[in-house]
Amino acid sequence: MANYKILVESTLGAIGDTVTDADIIAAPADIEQLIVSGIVEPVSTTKNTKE
Amino acid sequence: MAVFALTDAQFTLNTIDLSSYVTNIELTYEFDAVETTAMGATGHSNIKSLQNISCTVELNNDLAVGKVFDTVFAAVGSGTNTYIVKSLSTGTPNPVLTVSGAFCPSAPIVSGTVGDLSKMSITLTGGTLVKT
Repeated sequence: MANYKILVESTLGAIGDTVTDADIIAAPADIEQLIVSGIVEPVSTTKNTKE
Repeated sequence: MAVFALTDAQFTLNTIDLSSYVTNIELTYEFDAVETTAMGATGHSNIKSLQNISCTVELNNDLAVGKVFDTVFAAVGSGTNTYIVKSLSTGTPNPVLTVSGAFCPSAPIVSGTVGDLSKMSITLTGGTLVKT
């Protein structure tokens, strides 16, 4: 399950909140459309393994 | 519920609530008709085929981030727009009309005469409407 940070105040939630792809689908909305339009951005889950 | 004046219709486009900017809205629920008339009929007969949804919205413009201009600009050219229309903000009954997969072919992103209020009118076509 991917997470997305809200960049623009919307019915998804407040700016800065994190939502899941399930939240976006339930909104309902298209995930790619929201990313393209700058409403949300993917939250990177990559961990830095460097010591 | 009695008859009512349309003073508080709600319009949300791609999760952005633009209701406070809407000055006119018309959502048309329509199906394509497929003719089934056959020999012996005395008049045309049809069955419904695909939904043919259309929504025209007139909005006061707002250039602020994530408001009218940004939302409409991002919607143009996309066939995956989702919008929600309600006749009232609150109350019962208040059908929620959700259209997914709508296409927005164009928008007059700059339009008006000197001294006019900046407005834009968009038409979203296609998609699938669900009433809840």
